[in-house]
Amino acid sequence: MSVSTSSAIFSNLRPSDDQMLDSSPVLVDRITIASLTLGVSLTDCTSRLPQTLSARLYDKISRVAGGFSQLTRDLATFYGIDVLETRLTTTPLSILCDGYKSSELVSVASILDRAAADSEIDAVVAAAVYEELAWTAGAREVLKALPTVIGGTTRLRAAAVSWSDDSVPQEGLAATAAAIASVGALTDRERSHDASRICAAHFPTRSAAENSGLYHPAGAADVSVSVEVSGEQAFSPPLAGMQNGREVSMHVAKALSRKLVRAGRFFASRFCTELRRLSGVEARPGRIQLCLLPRPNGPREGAGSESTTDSDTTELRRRLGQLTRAIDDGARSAGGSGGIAYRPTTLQRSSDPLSAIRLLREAASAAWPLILYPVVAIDRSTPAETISRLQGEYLEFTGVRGPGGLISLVPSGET
Amino acid sequence: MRGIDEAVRLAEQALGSGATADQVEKVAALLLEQTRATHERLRPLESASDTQAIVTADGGARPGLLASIANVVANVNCGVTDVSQKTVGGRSVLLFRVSLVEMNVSFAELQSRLSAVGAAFDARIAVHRADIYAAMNDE
Repeated sequence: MSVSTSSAIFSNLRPSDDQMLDSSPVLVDRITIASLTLGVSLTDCTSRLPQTLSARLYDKISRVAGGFSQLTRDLATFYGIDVLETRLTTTPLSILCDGYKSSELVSVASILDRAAADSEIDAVVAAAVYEELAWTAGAREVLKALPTVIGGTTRLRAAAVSWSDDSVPQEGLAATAAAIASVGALTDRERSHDASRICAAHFPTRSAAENSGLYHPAGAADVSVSVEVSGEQAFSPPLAGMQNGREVSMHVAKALSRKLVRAGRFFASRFCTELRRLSGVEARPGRIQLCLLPRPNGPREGAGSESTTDSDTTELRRRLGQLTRAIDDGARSAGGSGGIAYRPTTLQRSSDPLSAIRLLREAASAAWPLILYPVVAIDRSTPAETISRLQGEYLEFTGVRGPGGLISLVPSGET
Repeated sequence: MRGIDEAVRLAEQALGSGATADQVEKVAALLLEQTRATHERLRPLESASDTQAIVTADGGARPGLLASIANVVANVNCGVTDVSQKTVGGRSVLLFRVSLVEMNVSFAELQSRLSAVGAAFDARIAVHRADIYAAMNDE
């Protein structure tokens, strides 16, 4: 049946038969923005004096981000989009604070935390980034200071970001090993703090690290707006289709990810336009990335709370691998960043994080290129015994290097 | 929010049966002020945007669905300016173009009411502002 009235404008919006075939099974019910990130370069704030750096970075963040949260709320209301988290990323702390002592670094981090709080931004990422295939002195100081920094702040998250090409794979392993060691120190000394605020990630190339959204890289626009976008129930139909062996699911997943990336890019562009109009800040759209949000009672929720068999794991691995590749293809074809951010919030809620982590590891090795964020997530209420087992589980991992070479965890002997 | 009556109703609902008339009035006034402030802030966004929305319903062959969607749209003082229906592979998809110029609820409220219709008819219904819809479907 085909019943329609037409107008010139509506005709432009009406899909062709082919597009209808493409889009009808992948209707996007509701767009969710998992995180909206304001990236700010602080390279013009550097100083050999920590007090000067602190004052400059606070001023710049306040000026640029002052209206960020209100505009986020207004645009979210206007478009009926849920924005789950606002974030601020900056030039890596390891670069800004190169040459600082640990205590000075902690005071700068606390100013970053306060700047985020005063601008009503949910989280600010302080990053230690691996530079030129080596850890700088500044980065080593950041890693050393991680437990204290996290313990003394509320919105600050710490990220240890490493990368290596195929010629020197072990360099990156050492980088992440340092971060894992810091997490270990945190869980031992500061059990009351939430270790999920630390992320350690390893990437196969420098550009992949720069595209991770964990810090504001050199060469990026002075101010950028990045979006991690997800559909509320986005990937359940393709997953269900896969369970039933329907090949159309791959096609659906690609079409869906294209639509979501386009929606994310639109939102980022609109945000930049309004930011310029309201506060005169010149911002550019940054990274647009798909994000998988675990659904309550979804397949990954069960992974952490129930025992799983090898066949379950293999099946999950296969399905996630297929789905991730299809989604990644779709996102790239629409100009999105490569990779899919996955926020394993279920880990934080799970009474048994071990099985969930095991499954995630499986997924990571199968599903190129998946970013696991955070690598370690331990809830405040997790019993000490479980934490010890968790650390033991990590230390059993030996240089996990999937097709994307993304996450590296090393045996205790190498830390 | 439609106006004073709805503000009072929401205030009464939130405060419970033990609330005095004075308490209800104060909370209702705050709600109205908040709504007015939000509308003031969103007005520039509205003026720079396409004030149209696209409603898509997957499952449009179900009797009464089209009428129910049109009813919701009319109840929030919006107008259906165009409608199209196609059947593809046994699935019926409805597309409405809706003018939001006179809408008397928030966009989220419109989404919520249409979602309720979708649940009642076991159909998936999405509503997006026309500019973001066009961006999503720009092949």
